[in-house]
Amino acid sequence: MAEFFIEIGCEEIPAKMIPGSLGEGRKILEKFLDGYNIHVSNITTYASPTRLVYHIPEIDLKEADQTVTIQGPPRRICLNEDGTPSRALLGFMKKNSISEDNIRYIQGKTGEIAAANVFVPGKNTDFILKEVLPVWLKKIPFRKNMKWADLNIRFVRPIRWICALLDGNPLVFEYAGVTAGKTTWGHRILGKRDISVTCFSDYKSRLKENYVEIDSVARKTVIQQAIAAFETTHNATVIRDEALLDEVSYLVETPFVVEGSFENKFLKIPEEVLITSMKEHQKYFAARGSDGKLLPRFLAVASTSNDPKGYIQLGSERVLAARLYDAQFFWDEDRKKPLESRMDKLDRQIFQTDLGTYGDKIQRIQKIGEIFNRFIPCDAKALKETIRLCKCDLATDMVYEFPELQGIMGGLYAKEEGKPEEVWKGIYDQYRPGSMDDDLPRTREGELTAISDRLDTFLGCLAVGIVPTSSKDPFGLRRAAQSIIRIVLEKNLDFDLYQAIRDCLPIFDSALKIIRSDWENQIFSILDARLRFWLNTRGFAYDEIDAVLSIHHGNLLDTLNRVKALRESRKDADFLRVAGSFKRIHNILDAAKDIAPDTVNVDLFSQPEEAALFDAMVTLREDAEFFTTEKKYGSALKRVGEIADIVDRFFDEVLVMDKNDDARQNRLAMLTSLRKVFLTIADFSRLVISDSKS
Amino acid sequence: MNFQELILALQEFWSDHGCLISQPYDIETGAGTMNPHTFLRVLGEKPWNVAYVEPSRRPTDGRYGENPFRVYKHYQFQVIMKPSPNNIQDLYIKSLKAFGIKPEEHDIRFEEDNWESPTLGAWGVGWQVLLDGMEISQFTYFQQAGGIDLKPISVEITYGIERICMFINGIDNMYNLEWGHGISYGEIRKQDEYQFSKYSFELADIDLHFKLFDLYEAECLRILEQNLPIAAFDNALKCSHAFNVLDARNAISVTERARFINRVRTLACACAKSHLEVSNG
Repeated sequence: MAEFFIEIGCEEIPAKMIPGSLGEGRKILEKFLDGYNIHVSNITTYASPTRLVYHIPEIDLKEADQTVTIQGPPRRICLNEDGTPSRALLGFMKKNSISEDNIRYIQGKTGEIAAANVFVPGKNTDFILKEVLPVWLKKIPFRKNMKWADLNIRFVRPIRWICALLDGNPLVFEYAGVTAGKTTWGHRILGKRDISVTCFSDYKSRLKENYVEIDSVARKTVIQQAIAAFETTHNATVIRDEALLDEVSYLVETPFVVEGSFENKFLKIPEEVLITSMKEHQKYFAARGSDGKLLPRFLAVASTSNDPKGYIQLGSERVLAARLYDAQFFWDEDRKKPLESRMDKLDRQIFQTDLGTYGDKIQRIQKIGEIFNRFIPCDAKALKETIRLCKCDLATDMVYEFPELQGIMGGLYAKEEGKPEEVWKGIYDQYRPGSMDDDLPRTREGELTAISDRLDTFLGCLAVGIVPTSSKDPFGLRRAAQSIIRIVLEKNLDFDLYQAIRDCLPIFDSALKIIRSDWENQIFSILDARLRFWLNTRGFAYDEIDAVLSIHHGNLLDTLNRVKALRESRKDADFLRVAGSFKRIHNILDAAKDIAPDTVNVDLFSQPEEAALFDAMVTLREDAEFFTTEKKYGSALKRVGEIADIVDRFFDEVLVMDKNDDARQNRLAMLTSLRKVFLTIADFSRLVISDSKS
Repeated sequence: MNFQELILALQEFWSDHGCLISQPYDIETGAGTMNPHTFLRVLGEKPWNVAYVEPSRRPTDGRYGENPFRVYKHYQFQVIMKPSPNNIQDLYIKSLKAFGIKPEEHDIRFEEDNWESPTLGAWGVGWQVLLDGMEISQFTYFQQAGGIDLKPISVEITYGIERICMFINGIDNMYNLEWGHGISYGEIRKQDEYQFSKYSFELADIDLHFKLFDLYEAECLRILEQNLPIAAFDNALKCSHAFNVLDARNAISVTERARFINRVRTLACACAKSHLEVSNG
């Protein structure tokens, strides 16, 4: 067993691309090596801004030798009449360098054929790697690649060196004008170049001496320790931000955390703006004091080992001051004019070519809001005002400069203008939730504004033919649908969402560019898919979700209640027996060619099990109706379980597909009725029932 | 080191590393990239190494001389090397020493920042270079110019020389920089800034500039028919500037904006294509 590792040395790779591409690269390398007869242990990966590293602690140095049976021509053409080898056999022998002694005959698919065992020596791993690695390098996927100099190669950034050692020996091959070998590069400024290494642990420690920590977890730990120390010193809480921590850890070869501060006077700017300035633009961490208020301090992470002259701190503070100076200017300037004075600018700003301006969008959102307000009561006047003003901040200087503050700024400016709480909070929260774990709007008006705005984008874009694909969704339609579903379910909005949406469709009549039925199908299939996703994240199984979604109508809370009940009922063995029979009922009914009559004729019953099932069905129908009206789906399903014995006995004793037409059709009618009753609760025939349970 | 010393230091450095020291173009440009010494010369196979200062006019960035960081016209120091040398990042860092930065005392980082110029049909991949958190340069490997895939690839380094000068002198207001011989940047530039801001935002004749745009566009196309792309390109630059003035005057709506950009791009791409044909033929 030997050790192998390769380091691809590049000019700075974009931080956000590193983790994904690093992992994809590992998968592809694994797949490549799978094709050879060598044992390979797990591949571990490391990366810094200027290198991707793959380490295989254990790898065979050579493929195992193999004896392989090769097949030749059919026996009947192998020998000439005089018993000497025919031309066909000679050709086979020559091609495989074997003598006649090695030839034997085996049974092939169509008769006997010549065959021979040949010895295939295993290839050396260094030979394999030299063959595989250049192909692999071409395949590592990045979101965006580039060319450089006069090479025909594409990679995320120019490759400047490759360090590759197998069992301590350099693996020499050429790629992108670089010869791979046993040397690595340290930190661009503080470290050395062309550092010879002997093995992976030597490589790691030599790099550490040269100011590169290749382990992102170790880099993160250093940053977190500095954060903790800062918190103790200043009795502060640094605002946690995993995404920022991840990004920053891939922006540095070795982290050095610098503490900085800004002037107190900037604290008059809303903290949302301060945090955005620090985080989005400078990638600094902001902190709060023990009173929860923002401190005029920050932490910056530099890619170096020290700040000997304090230049880094000074520079960070100056850059941030310039940003805050701008922010202060925008905050002051924007407030000189009321939000609504910006309305006319929105009439000129295009939302989407076929859907018109933001002014047009607001008019549509108003209509959607009105329709939804019929289903969900709230302060109609406040809702109208919220929607009227919700996009005005797009025309402010602050949002022009800090687009990520859209909505939030509108809310803050509305608050400054003294708008009622429902209105300013509604504006503030309109883009919530931005992601699966983001906060939801705080007020009912905010919820309706958020839903109406999303729905306008969603319905409108689909109407003009913008369809989200797995790789392209520029208007974030899937996310919009997801947000609507989250708000409805997590805020317990008990109404028929799909009906409300259908009521909104006429608003888009004039914009509609595709076939109406296609449009409607897209709308509800995307919503169903997002609902399915949400339920799945809540731990519901696919079959439980399927069982309910196949009959659901559009009141999402109702759907949720049914799925919950179904999950509970899975523990009920009797219920599962009925579910199994339900599947059988589906099969029988789907296969039957008869058109079953609408009603069951009790006079045609010839067996007691028929009458028993009929009585049970009638009672179940009444109970199911009662419980579903009361939304007690658990009780309804429990009642279903209670007829298990009756159902089983029916199927044990009664032949549904009787030769007698009347008897058969009557039984089909009964099963049809029973199916109907079941389907008022859920299509639980879709439950996947394991054999041991059923 | 004052403003002119900084320029001289950069010129000397890049001259020592094989660049021709060229001069700014004599038509309004928004960036050093629009100078034909970049836009046309990055096309084709011939090696090309050049450095020059480019006064860059961006009417919408005008602030009447009141904002310490933002101006109607700033100066870029532009370096183009074709093909991109393997040690270009090292050269760049070495160039910082030319104006007194000791790299080991600072945090120097290359953060992803891909460049795209829709009006030139050009894009590239690269970084903004941050010095202690402040952006001091753009560093770009051009992939396309005038809609044409480039081979070999040129690398472009653009130094924001006002910012760098402010940084090395610890000055927080551009106008307080010393240009040279005790004369401030403000003395040289502040009146220009006021007047050009006033002109671009308030006074520029909108109808005239729409007309100018149309006229220069027609002239560009006419000259292209004569296979004189270098001469034609001047007219494309004139269009671009007229568009920028109209943009500052708020005379162009969002939809029209995309159309105007497209018109300039069409000219730039046609010039690039013609230039390749003429210089190869």
